Amino acid sequence: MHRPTRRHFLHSASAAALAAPLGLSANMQNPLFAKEAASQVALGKAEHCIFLWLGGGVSQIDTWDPKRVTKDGLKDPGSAYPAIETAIQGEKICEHLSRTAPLLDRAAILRTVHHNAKDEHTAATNQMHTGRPVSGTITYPSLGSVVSHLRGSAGEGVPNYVLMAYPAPSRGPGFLGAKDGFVYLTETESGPKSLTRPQRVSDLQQARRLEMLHQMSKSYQQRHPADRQIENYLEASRQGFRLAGPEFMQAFQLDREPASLRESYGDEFGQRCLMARRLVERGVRFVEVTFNLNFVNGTGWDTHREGHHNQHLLIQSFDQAFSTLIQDLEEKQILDKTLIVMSSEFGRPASFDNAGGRGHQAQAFSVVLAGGGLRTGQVIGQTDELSRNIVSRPVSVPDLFSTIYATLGIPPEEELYDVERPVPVTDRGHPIAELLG
Amino acid sequence: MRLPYCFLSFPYSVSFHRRSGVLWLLLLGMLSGLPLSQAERISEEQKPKLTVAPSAESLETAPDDAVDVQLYEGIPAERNWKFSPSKAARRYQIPQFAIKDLPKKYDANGMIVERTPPFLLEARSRVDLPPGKYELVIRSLNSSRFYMDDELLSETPFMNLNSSAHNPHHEVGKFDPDFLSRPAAHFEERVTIEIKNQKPVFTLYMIVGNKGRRAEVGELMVAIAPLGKNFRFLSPTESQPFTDGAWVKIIEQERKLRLTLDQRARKHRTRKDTEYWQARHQAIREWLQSQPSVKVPAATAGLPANNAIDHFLNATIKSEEVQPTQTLDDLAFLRKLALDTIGLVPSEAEIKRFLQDPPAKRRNLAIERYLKHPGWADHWVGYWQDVLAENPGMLKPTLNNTGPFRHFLYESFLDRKPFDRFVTELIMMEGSPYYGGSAGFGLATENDVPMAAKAHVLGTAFLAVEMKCARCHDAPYHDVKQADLFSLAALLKRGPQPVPASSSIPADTLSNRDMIVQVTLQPGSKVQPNWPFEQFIQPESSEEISSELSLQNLDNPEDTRQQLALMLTSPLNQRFSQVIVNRVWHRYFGRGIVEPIADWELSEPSHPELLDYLVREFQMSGYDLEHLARLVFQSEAYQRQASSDSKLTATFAAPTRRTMQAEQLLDSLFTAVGKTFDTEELNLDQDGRQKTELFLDLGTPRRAWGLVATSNDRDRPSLSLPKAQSLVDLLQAYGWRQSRPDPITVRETNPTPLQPMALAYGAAPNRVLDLSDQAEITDLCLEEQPLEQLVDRIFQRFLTRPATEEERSLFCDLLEEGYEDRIHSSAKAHPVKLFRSGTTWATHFDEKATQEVADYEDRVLQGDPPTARLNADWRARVEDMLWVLSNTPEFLFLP
Repeated sequence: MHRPTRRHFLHSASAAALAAPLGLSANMQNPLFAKEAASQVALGKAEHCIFLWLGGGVSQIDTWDPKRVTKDGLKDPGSAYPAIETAIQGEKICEHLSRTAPLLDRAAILRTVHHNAKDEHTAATNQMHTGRPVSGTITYPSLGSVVSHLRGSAGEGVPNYVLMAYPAPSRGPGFLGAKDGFVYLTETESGPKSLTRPQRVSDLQQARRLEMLHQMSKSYQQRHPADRQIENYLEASRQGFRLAGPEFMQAFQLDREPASLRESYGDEFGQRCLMARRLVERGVRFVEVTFNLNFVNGTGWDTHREGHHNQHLLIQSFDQAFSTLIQDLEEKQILDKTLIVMSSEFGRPASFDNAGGRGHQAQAFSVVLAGGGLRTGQVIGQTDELSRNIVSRPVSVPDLFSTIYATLGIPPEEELYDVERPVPVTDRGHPIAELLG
Repeated sequence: MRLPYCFLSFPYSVSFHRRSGVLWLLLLGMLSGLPLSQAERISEEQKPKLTVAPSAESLETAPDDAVDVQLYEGIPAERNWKFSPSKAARRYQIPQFAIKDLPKKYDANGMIVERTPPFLLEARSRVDLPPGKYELVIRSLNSSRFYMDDELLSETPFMNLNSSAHNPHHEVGKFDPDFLSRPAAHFEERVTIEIKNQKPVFTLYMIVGNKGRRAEVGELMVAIAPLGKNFRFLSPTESQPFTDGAWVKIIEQERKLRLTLDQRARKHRTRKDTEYWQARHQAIREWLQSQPSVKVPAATAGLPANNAIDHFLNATIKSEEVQPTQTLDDLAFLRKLALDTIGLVPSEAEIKRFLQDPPAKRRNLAIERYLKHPGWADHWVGYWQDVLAENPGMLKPTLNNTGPFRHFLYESFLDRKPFDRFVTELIMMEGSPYYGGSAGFGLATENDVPMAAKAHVLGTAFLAVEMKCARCHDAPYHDVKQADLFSLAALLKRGPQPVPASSSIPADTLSNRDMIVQVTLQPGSKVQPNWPFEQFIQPESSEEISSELSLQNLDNPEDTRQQLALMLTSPLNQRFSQVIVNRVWHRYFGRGIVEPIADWELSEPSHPELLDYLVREFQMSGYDLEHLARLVFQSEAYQRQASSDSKLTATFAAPTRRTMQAEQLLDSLFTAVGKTFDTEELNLDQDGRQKTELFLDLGTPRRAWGLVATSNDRDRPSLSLPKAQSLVDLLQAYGWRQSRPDPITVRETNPTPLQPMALAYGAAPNRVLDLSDQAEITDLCLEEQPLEQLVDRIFQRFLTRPATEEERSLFCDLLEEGYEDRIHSSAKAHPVKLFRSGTTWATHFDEKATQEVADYEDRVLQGDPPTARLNADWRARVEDMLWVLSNTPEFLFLP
């Protein structure tokens, strides 16, 4: 009978090279793929990242990359709103970003981000979270999971990665596995899922439950002495209850902040930003905050048709939260070690649909970076007169991702391991040298 | 000649109430004798009238003991009633005028195929009603016509097809204990009739679906009430109240009926196929008998043995000088067996039955019962969803998504399809890609080479050849070239497979001297269909066995998919059988005879003779997984206590310690509490306006495998499904993947702190534990019995054993206070209340949608409404007990 065989297993050419890497542990260097020459840019020293996700596709021409104003908001392409001066000399942004404008020297606008994912939110969202197109052979980890994985913990008893959004696959740990997954919440009121006890269970009840559970677990463990897996599970459980305990849960209690500060952060999105600051202070590495207040205009940032009419309210709300976050981090002296990213799955075209809204545009759109010890106060890249095409300094998605990684001290040539298969952190991206020291 | 709008021979007075409808005005106009124009009248008389109305024969043959349903396909796509249906494609009977879902349609291979919309549904029955005046309610998503005998009583309009997400929110009805709440986007008409002495035939027609859109039936129904009384579903026999609660029951009855009808239909359609496979397996058996058999070692002194498996294992246990663990006690064995066969903890009834059997026989009797249980199919689906990377997306799928071929998987295991037949059907990728056929396996949205992705899946699943790296270059650590994967892909593609640049490594990366990755296929080259694994089987060799296995005798010898299926599943391809045997073994022992399970490049079996023996058993049995499972379950080795000690598990002196898989955990929670699996309908297009390929209806699952990623990548609150999401959260914490773009065999099980917390504080498990009026444990608490007995019964439901002395006193202490007065005898069970949402994809940008879903989310977070029949404080203490029993490691870890 046949046996599982190793058909002429070792090819002569690669035999020598093969012998060594097989036994390598996951974090050791691997010569499998030729590495590009070590990047010339200096690595940043940022410790944390607050990733502001404006899902739907922020209209860059109505925000960070203003052009001539449309005459009629229908037939004549152009920005919907006038632009104003900023702290970066000669660079303007939309008037609804009036609080951010004077703080823009703390930020950098990347105006030439682009990709060619299918014109569909899910595919583009996936690309802007993992930095790569979808593959059928491997599930790539999200930005937050990669940072968690490579930078590890920055504080006692806190998770590395907190998500304030719906837990879609694009935000997950992919091949890195559950340990690099997120703790998530969908709004600031009801606390993180699976770490917040249901309200209907009283303190008294919980104490009773834990006491009885302890007895049951102990007797089970006694009946199964020295069983490693059972011990691991019980240890994970102890850590879990600690995580769900008052110390970390305080991070989610916004009423511990001064009322005036809460007010200056503004609406629910602002409150999420405030919560992000509280999490970063406690050592959380990566916080993704979604801006999905869709009731404001119906469509959120996906401003097709009538969704465009109240877009300015979204922009104002973002402006308030974003400017307060920058100032608050600065005041707490953590802006330099905290990179803020404002991102979106794509941008929108200068022209309008037949109801005065806008479609999608992925060939040129804006992403904003702030703080993080970067050389801020710059605009990277230029688009044409209607922000339709890139004129100079294109920034690819891998470039964007390697810039974020480099800012957080992660070398662009760093490799992750899908079991023993090496996977570079970005698909051959180059960090934006102008921004890094 | 019948004139549908002619009411001359009008036996009863008919009056019409209407909510809306120009159509009705038109109809009234006709009733009141508005004259047709001259030209119209002539054409009316000259042309045979094409329309849909009951014929005299139809009225005559309408049954009076059931509602007869017929489906007519191939009707015109124009949205009107100007056609006459010919022969019905499907016919079956239901108890009342109420339809939620239709039986599936199958091709000659028993594969699910789509009924091309639009099609016509007809439901008719003769109903005996006491004389008097009645009001009728007709609900339909799309255009319907309702006749009493040959009189048209009502007509609903054709549905709105605006698929944009910017439509106004649908209004849905408020809850009314005596009137079924209204689903989104349905038309509702009311008519009043008077019955004298006739037994009328009621006929309801509905045009289901629209060209290019999903065929959504919606909730089609007729209710009737004597004037001023409560409505009931119109039925010749049953008289169910027209309430949310009754509708939930009717849907469940319909689901069971459809299961039976579908199974019968598959059996009938595949008779010829079945004969072929029987002949093929007979030929294989005869051939095997001519081959040398595998010698089973003699018994080993001092080590118990139940069957040949133990003889093989005991020899090494002895030589390695390890001490096997103890045999499990009866109930622990039952728990493990139930979880391994049907994926659930045993019910009280199953435990009782088991204990009634004679001790010497009860284990084997239980094995037979569970092997025949339909849950066998449920428990296999999750496994193959992982291994075959089943990855459907509910909403505009673009993440390497497949179709929902979970239905093909489920039905294959429900029908106990021989495994070689199952794999052959999978590879043929037939039937409906979007409604559950194996064609769904063939989809890979936004993948540059879908068939290469599928070849990779087949390689790991059935040959344990890992070709992940070969997707873009020759594998450095494996003996696989990119050309091997692509030639397999070409077999699936039925033609040359080009290599796109996106499936290669850029040349500049390759220039480095240190590079050990090689690209021998240039982008742009085409790879011919070719079987790349001659070390496993030579293409022509199977014909020695029998003509059934000859390449020349395939239905279509030129079809490279058929060739591939034959090469994979031939008994000469020992590797295939070895891999499947090893998969089954691994599943039940937690460790394979060969490790790792899906990649044997560098592996040797730990027990080669045992593997050979099981391969022969598998092939002799006609590729029957059940047979393999039976051999394993009967063995002493399986019946021993599990261990985490690798010295013991490597020799199978103890099975490897396992936790429940995510699906087992969630399904077992529902089973232990005695609740129906509870989630929203997994369908964002309940108004049926979207294109088939963009939106999937995954229905309302009854088991965890039916869940899917909630797919809210858009972060739109109005698209969230809070119940489903909370279930997904629990499953994910325990290793289930909401997105399965790539195949895996072994899930990650190392616990993170979030894992136990997902069970302790998660919204889903806590909701399951709520003692609502829909929980069997609530009924258990209402029974008169000593408290000790109640505690023991709850223990049995959760841990498959009575409480120990100590535990009994612990929980009796907890529940004693107030036990005597726990029942509020005056309180009634809450009526069942359906959640009705006006939010669909087509309306989700309306701010009312966001508000509605946010409110609903809050309600879901508050848990299931507690029963009022039990004292609240005492009830909360029972819930404490359930929480403790479900959070103790004993619930999670298999014995």
